Amino acid sequence: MTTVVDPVDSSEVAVQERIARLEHDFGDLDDPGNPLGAQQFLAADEGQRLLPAAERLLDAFGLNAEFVPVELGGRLDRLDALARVLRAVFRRDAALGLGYGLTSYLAAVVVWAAGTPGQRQEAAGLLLAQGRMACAYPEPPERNDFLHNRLTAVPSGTGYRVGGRKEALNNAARAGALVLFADTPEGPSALLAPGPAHPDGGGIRLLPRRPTVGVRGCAVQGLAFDGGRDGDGGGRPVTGRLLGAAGDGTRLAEHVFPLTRSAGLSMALGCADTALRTTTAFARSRRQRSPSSLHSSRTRTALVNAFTDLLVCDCLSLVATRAAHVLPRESRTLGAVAKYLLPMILTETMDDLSIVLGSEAYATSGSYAIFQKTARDLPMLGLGSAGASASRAVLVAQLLRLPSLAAPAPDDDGLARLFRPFDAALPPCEPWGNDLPADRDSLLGSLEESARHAEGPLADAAAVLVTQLGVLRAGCAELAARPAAERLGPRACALADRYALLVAGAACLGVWRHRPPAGFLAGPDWAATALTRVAARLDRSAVRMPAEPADHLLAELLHRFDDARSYDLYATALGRS
Amino acid sequence: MEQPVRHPGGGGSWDEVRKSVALHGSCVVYAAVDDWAPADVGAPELAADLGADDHARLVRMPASRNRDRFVAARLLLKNAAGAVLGAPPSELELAYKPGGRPYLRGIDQLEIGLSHTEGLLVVGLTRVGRIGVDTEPAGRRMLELGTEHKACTPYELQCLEEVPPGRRNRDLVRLWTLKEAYSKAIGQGLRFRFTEFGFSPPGGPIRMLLPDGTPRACREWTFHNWQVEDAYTVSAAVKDPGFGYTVPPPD
Repeated sequence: MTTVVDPVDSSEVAVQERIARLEHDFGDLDDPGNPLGAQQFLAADEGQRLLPAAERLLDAFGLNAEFVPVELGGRLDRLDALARVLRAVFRRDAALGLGYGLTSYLAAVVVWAAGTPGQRQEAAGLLLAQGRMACAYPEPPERNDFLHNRLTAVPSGTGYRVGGRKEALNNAARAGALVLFADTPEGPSALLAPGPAHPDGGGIRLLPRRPTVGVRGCAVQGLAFDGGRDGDGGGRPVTGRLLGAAGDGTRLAEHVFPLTRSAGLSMALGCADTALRTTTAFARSRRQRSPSSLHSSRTRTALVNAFTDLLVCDCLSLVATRAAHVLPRESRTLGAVAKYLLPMILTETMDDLSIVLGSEAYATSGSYAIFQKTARDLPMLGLGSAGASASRAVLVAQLLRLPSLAAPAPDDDGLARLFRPFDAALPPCEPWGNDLPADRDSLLGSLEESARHAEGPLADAAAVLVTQLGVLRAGCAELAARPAAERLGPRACALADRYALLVAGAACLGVWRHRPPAGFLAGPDWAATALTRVAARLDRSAVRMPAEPADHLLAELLHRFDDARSYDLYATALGRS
Repeated sequence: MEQPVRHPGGGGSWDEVRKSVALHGSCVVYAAVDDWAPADVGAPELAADLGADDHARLVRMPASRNRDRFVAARLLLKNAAGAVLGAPPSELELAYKPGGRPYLRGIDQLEIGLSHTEGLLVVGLTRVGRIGVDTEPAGRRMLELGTEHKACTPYELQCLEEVPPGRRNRDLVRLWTLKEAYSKAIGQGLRFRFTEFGFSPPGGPIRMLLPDGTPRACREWTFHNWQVEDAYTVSAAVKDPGFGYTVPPPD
């Protein structure tokens, strides 16, 4: 007799097995005897390098296969699953997650989206052989050093000869291949070029390494395409080949942003997870009279708020990553919401947790030192306000469309798939599916219907969200009625903030409405606290945190601490000694 | 950051504030309550400038010095931020985080801070990260009221004892405003315990210290302290997460 295995279920099982293997191999972060423990990651950070033992572990695991599509021999078939696997790495060290992982993905995704079959094979081959990639994205208007890009390229033979400099690029020295957005005679174009670690990359000169405040283990340095290390123009100029059409670089970058922003920020939740666990450990170790012990209501509130905010961020991450599969036309807007909201909420979470930790929040040694490292690392993952103005422009465009968008489609199971954390039944990701502007707003469209299902402790906060949806719609109508030149000011930004919060609320409500039949997510407590936190950001005086759900959430937080499980939608079992 | 900029109120120029933000990323502005308190709280443009929420609060407040400060501080803040952003104050929405920290909704490229005491208003603006500001009358009595034990680390208490008695209270007010400014920059609702972090004594760049007086590694924060109008102590804490804003902003 043969056993028939549902390929969809087996895909989710395989994801969980990979995460379990990574967690098991990394072991207990808090065990001082663990060669992959917090003390070792702190020492590597101090020494401005990635922990060699951790890189070997990821080599053996084949982490790069996570960034390579299944059809090219890798394991990438779902963006939400990619982010979940990488969280195991980010929980230990953001520099490792960025330096070993995310940086290569940010480059590779451009090749998956626009490369020829040959270029895709080439990039897949490089990554599956443990090579690294890096990408110089186009320079956004915010213009800080990390985003500065002054690359040019002119036609030369079958390719484009690259010139100019990129001032700061992570992984620059180790990259076997580079994705370069450069100015060409046809306009901004994307090129695939050999990197400094490739035999043909000799024409690239590495600029001195730049110290950073966070992710200090990442080697960030500039590249000068000026003939390179042989000096006196002896090195051969670097030639890149077009990715996609000449002059299509800006459009290409816009298309891959939803795939990079949503997944990258979702990975960063691994860092916040460690910060919350570290703070919980601290609070539990305090004596009863201490203001930071669990006997203090302020401490309990801070921990519950932080856990709740991580769940809000994860609901939004879930929706933003799965939208690339389920709602490609809306994925650009949802990626922009994630890019706007996650760095903001996570920064505030770190601030609130630092107050519980007091002077331990800046301790560089001792049991809680990983906190100050995480606090330095996290802001680097959202890169400050970088990309924020591009995201805001995407959000404002959606605000202006809102008054004319069709009424939400009747409840369909397609939309429900957006909200199911453990569900592998997703259509393939279509990077070009976001080519057309959104023809509806599925999240806002789902809000009122989902709110009708919000009973008990969810009801008050859900009602506030519905009221605020009315406020937003009125604001959008007023904005759309303005002359075009007056639509992009601070008023539009404030509306974009409200819009993003309502999308986050709709994501939480959606996850709750389509909840699994059993387990933590099946109960109303997490959703009640999550919606209340979102509602309070829209109207601070409109709703109070319900006491009983908050107490239950605290119990869950402590239970997950004792049981070594992650502070996200998945309650993943963490490595222990 | 440079010295705080005094704003004369009403139609005064914002050039210096704009210039300071462009050059240094941050600026602290101060003004007199009387220069910003509106003569007519019923004026329709005041409702637009304040925004619906704050105007509703104003309407509920009885006429008082407190109400003057409330309105004047918000008008100064929104006018200063509007000048930097190139927008009228009525276009800005002043909101508060769940923890109470004020911010301009949707404006992540400009963070704000607000403080007032007696007749003085202080506003902090920054493009680099976070800002917190605090002000107190320089002569406000704090010493020997128990404040020093609630507000100082062991090292700070020791330093205070070493300065001449005539300077001690002023130094304590300085420490207090620095700690308030830092607390406001990171939270507001929840407050950092003041005995768990300290600052270096006057003279030289201001550094954050651990309770035992050893410097705390915190390159991302800078702290400032000034005396203004010979009567007030003003402190500011600015967080720069370190993305290297060395490329000059576009003209």
